[in-house]
Amino acid sequence: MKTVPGDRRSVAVAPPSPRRVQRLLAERPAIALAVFLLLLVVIASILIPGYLSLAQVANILRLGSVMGLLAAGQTVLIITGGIDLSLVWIAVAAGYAVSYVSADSSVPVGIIAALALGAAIGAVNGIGVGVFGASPLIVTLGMAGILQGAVVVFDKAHLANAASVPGSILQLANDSIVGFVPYSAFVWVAVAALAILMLQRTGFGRLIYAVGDNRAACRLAGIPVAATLVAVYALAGLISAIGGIVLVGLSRYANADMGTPFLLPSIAAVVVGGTSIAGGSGGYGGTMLGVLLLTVLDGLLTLLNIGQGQAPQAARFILYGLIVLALAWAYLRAAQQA
Amino acid sequence: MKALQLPVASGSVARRRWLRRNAWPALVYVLLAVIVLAQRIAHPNYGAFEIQSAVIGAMPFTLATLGQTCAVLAGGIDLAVGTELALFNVIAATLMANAGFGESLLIGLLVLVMGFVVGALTGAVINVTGVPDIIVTLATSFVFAGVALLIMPIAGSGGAPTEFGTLFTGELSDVWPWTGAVGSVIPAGLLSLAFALLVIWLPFRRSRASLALYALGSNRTAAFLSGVSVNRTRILAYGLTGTFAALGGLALTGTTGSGDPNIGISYTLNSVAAVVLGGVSLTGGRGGMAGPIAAAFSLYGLLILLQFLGISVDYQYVVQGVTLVIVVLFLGRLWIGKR
Amino acid sequence: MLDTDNLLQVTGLRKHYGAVVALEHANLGVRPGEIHALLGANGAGKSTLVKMLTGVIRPDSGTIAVRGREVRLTDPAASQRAGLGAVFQDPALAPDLTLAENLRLTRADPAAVRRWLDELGLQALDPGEIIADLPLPTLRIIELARALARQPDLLILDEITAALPSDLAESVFRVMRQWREAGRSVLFISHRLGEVRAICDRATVLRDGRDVGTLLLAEGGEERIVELMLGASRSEMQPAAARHADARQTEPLFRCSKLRVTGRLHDVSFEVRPGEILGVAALEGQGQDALFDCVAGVIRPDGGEMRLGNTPLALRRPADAIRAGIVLVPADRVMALLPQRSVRENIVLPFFGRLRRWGRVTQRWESQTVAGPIARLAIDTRAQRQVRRLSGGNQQKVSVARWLATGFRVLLCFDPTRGIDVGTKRQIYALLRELADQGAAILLYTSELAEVHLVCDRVLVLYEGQVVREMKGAVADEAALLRAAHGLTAEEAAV
Repeated sequence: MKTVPGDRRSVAVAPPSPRRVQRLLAERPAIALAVFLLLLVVIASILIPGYLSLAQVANILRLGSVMGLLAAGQTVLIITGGIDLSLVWIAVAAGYAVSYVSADSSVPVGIIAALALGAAIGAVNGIGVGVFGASPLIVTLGMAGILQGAVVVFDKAHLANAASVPGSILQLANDSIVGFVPYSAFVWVAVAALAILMLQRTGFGRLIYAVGDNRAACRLAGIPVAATLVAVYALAGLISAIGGIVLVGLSRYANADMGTPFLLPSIAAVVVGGTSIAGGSGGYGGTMLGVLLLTVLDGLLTLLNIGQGQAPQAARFILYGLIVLALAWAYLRAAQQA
Repeated sequence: MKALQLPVASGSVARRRWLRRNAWPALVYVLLAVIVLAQRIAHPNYGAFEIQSAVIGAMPFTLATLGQTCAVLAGGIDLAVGTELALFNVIAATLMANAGFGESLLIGLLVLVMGFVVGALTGAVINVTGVPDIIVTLATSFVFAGVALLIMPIAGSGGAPTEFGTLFTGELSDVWPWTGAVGSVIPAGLLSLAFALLVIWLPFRRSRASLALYALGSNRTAAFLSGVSVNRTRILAYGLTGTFAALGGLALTGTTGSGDPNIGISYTLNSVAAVVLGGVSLTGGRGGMAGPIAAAFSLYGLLILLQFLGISVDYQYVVQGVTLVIVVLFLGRLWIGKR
Repeated sequence: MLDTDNLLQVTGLRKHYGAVVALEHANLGVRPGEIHALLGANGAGKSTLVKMLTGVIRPDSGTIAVRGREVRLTDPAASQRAGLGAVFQDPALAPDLTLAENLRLTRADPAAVRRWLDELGLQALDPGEIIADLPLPTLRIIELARALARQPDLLILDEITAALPSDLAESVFRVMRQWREAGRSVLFISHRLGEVRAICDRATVLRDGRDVGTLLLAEGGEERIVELMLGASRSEMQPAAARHADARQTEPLFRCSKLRVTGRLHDVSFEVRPGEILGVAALEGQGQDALFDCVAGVIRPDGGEMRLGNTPLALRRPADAIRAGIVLVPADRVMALLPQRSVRENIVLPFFGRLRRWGRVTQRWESQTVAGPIARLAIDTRAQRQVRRLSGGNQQKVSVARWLATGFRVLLCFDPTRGIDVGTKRQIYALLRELADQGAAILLYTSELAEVHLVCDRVLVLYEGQVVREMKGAVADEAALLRAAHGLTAEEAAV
């Protein structure tokens, strides 16, 4: 056993000492996050009279659904020890696909086209990472650039005859039943349930954790690591495509910039949710809470209207950064001491 | 058992070392030459004006790349390089708005020092918290973007004295009349690059501290056991990153005469691209500045080439992305190794 | 024994990691002008003690005194300043820098280092060489030269001979003696008792985090040392009943002929029959790594052929070997296990190599699959959610349990008992015997030569990548094996 200060992954570590609260934090970060979220909502209600309205909840869920879907693919990838900077652009591309293909044929075909596109692009990322062994940062960075360029070019080429977003998708993204539960929230919950089930109860989910925990051990155990990675990245692309369909509905028309506000926040939500960037642990439940937390915080800052002009945006950025840092540090310490 | 065979001829050792360290950067300069050649073919009137525009446009990005190289060499990465650049651009433009030339130089120096401090703080946070550099710099990139917005809510505000701008947008002979005819075709913007290399990087490279930085990136355990202070070296590495980012921000202030708090992200991502293309291993410990400089100019030159060819500027992203992927996937494995 | 004239005096050193005791109460005294051995099985606390002396970790309590003055060793630099120079097991040279740059990094005197390099036989070494281009034995010598150039009072050598060919090892011994004559001292950590007896003056043995004895090597025998290390007389370990007679009748299950890996393995041929445990005995780095890697499908041989039954094997990756029924238990638990996952997840991992298992996984299936192996190996799974929290012995059991769950025909065990306590060792050997009796063919490499005859039916001795001797297990006592492992034929009975 060789441990050096700063290297925290030695194989044999002491069993947990009886500090139950800290252990709870490390192994069930969801509880701490939920408490934090609750606190935030309470503070919001105090600071802004009439904050806790149905319309507000609907708003949060609407925005949260998109971020949640984008963060889902990111969560799964981060568990494998990777990262994907192109997921947001896959979503944008999918949004374009569903609009334009639906205009040409029908909405179901458009949706299938968008999903297929997402999965295909994801698979290409997966091939770069799994088969060629390149750094996920670089591969997805390159893919993000390619997609960004493709989208901008496509957009400019179709300025004259831009397709509009199908009515059903607009409904999906913007309308709610019972007055405050958006349809998109159902989509999010459905995807979330599937994702969590997959991670916890399927062999594929086990492999996701295994590959992130110790890729070399997986190879020795005969696991087809390359195939697993291709499948994981394709899956992330698929989920992001779902997010893209909702996104284009929310944005009301396909435009190249609609995804950019979600790039870093989607990664932030994963970190806030307690999934370690090193891979091998974590889960989507935490990410969901992270998404809600960040969305609520976001909305709060906008409503509070601190200062004028760009100040709320600035405050939002600064708070994002500090929260991500603080939570990443808190999780790390809790995991070490447990 | 026989004694170990060790290479005897010192010539072959030196040659092997040169190849290992310089082959890739050399190739990147060839790439740059090819791109410039292609530019001349596509645009027969290629002259001083085009060179000047290229330098003006590429300099801030190149300086950001220099900064990223420092972090990556030490085994880390700085996802906040772009927003740091934006931050210092905004600070400089705000401070210099009504300043004279001499004052602007002093402000520039102050900004450079601030850059070092900010970078060093980043390194200190990584040390103290133990959180991986990707996350810390992701978080700090948010914070810097926010602070930049606070300082300058509206893009395009602020200003810089004309003479300061000339340092970056003029010809060498505008700054130093004694360079005469030759100096009138050399862009002054190269001065900032020269400053970065001659005043900051090369003296650093001669010091023991630079060996510590490379050792840290090469094998952190070995560095630690050798008595290198991991914490101090990391602070120094990120401090240098911040300094170069600040220099880039100054360059942007000089070339645009104003500040823009929004530009961060693409600088960051492209700086990583240029670093990898320039032959610096993402795991650290291998590479130098020569490669990334050529890589940065190549990437920018590629965009210009596309413009000359009449290809829409929007395809630039596609081309950059494809180039990056091809370079890293295929060529990278030959020379550098993977992360 | 507390002696204020000692060059190095360690008193009452203690280090706990939560509930795990690495060092309970360790004393060590090294006199000036002495070569002092530090011995102990893995897990006894040796490496922890060395890490404290070199400033890598700090003790919870206790004192370290050099030349009578207490010192606080906060980091490796402090340890060097205190007059302790070390050659570590982990490489302390940055691989991408040249030798000259590494020396400059540590403020070593290039001229002094050069003199020591010449003294140690590396006159031809060019300081412009990049470290990554140099072979491991060279790096060891470089680090030794660098340590010597600082003129430390106490030279700490941690398993330095492990990677050295015998002529370089001889140079090292020569230098060690010179050091002693100059009135300085050496703390020599090694597993090789033969070496220890040959050059050390005294030895301190650690067990379970304490020093259990300090011997004068002139009088003490190896037997006494091993007794101290084990805490039990070796004779307690009974040989498992070997079935030599039957083995010859059955067809070989695994065959390899003229297996070759350039520079590491030459012309290795052997067969293993079902029901047989074939041992491989060798010193460090004699080709056993390459051999096992080939059979397990981790690397491809440059020449030669392997067969399972009558079918030729073309193994391009571990998955191919596993599918053929050849499984590997590596020595390094870090390599084989998923540290953050549970025992159960680790055991069932190989099942998910098949696409049809990517679907739903039920608790019931998992429990059923792991129940047998866990019970059979008596793996302690109480309240340990992550495998990295288990003891080394239990981790090794998990490695083995994995293959019990999936089933296999040929089991490759690479040093399975390295660093494991005696009780667990016994269990593992008994299990191997059982498995063989049930029809598996087992290839076992162990660095514990004394234990070979306890469990192996036959033994191959590897030396410099070739099989130099084959013996029946019953007659493979440690002396004979050591001789063969050093490349000595039966006639050249030197030791």
